[in-house]
Amino acid sequence: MATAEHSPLEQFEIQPILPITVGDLNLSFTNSSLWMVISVLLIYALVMLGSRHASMVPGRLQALLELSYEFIADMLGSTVGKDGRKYFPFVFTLFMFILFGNLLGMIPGSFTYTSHIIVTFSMAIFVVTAVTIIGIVRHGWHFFSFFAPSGCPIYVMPLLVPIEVLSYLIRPISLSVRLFVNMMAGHIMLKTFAGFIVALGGYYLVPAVAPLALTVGLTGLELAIAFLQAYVFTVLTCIYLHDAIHLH
Amino acid sequence: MAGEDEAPKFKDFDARMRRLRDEAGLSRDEPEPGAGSRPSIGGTGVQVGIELVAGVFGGALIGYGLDRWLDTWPIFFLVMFFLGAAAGMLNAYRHIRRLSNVPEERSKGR
Repeated sequence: MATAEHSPLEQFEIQPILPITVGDLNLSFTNSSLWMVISVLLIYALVMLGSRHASMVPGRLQALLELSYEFIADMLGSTVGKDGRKYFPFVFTLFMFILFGNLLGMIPGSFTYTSHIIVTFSMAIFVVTAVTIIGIVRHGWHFFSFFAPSGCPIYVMPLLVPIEVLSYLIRPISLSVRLFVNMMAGHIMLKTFAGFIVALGGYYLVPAVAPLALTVGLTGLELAIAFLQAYVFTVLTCIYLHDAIHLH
Repeated sequence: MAGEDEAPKFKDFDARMRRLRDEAGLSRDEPEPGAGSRPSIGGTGVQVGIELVAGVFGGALIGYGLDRWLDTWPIFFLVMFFLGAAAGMLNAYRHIRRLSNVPEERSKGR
């Protein structure tokens, strides 16, 4: 179909670069994997090059690295507290991976892996599982008192406990859907308005200026959202960590 | 050569910074978790809406899964649908509380 090629959804298509099949499993190296590898390499390069020549007055790379380090360290300190220091490597990795995914997705022609629900969902389910294990290891069976709000009458417990358990189980869904929806909607919007430039430019040059201006504005907005959503995902991870460590 | 020569200077620098901070009354203590202002969560209405939708969908999905497993369609689906909606509202409520930086008073009872 000719129209499908120009659909604003075309950018989300997974294309295998290196087809690999093991048994019934499709383990192909796709464009999604490619951009994940690129972002991991870039993060690795930033951390390694930024910390190689540590100097008193930081250079550009070192300043960028120190900025990201302090950003996450402050976030952990203010949300989780002193006990959160241990989980810094995990939270930092998570933040950088999402941030680089979002930002690299802004390069025209690239692939935004954070706009796929399965990617964000696997990250979210990993976070919630890890947090649950941390909670159980730290508190043992006492962790399950998390689901029973203390101080409420015993006869509402049969209703309250399932709701609390469900609200806990829903966390990975809302966490992943939030990131995925924001990235996907933003990219569709960008493509749609950019498509208007071509559609209108075919007739007259002048009306095409309006969607062009809007696309420029939207690009700025998307850059802001890329940062914001990486931040939101990380802050929520920190809040869940705090809940598991301190149990209210 | 940079690594070994710089290390003592850094230590000295840290000590001097600490002294200066203390003199200026800027000593940085670790903030109490939850006591200070939590970083606010960006995006307002949409974020809360996602919480509500995820509640209903998540509840229905879990209920459907339980029904498939235990062959009890549609009991769990119906129960979980409504419980999920309630859980979504609870999550949305907590989200708004966090947004407005109101500390949670869950343990005190209502």
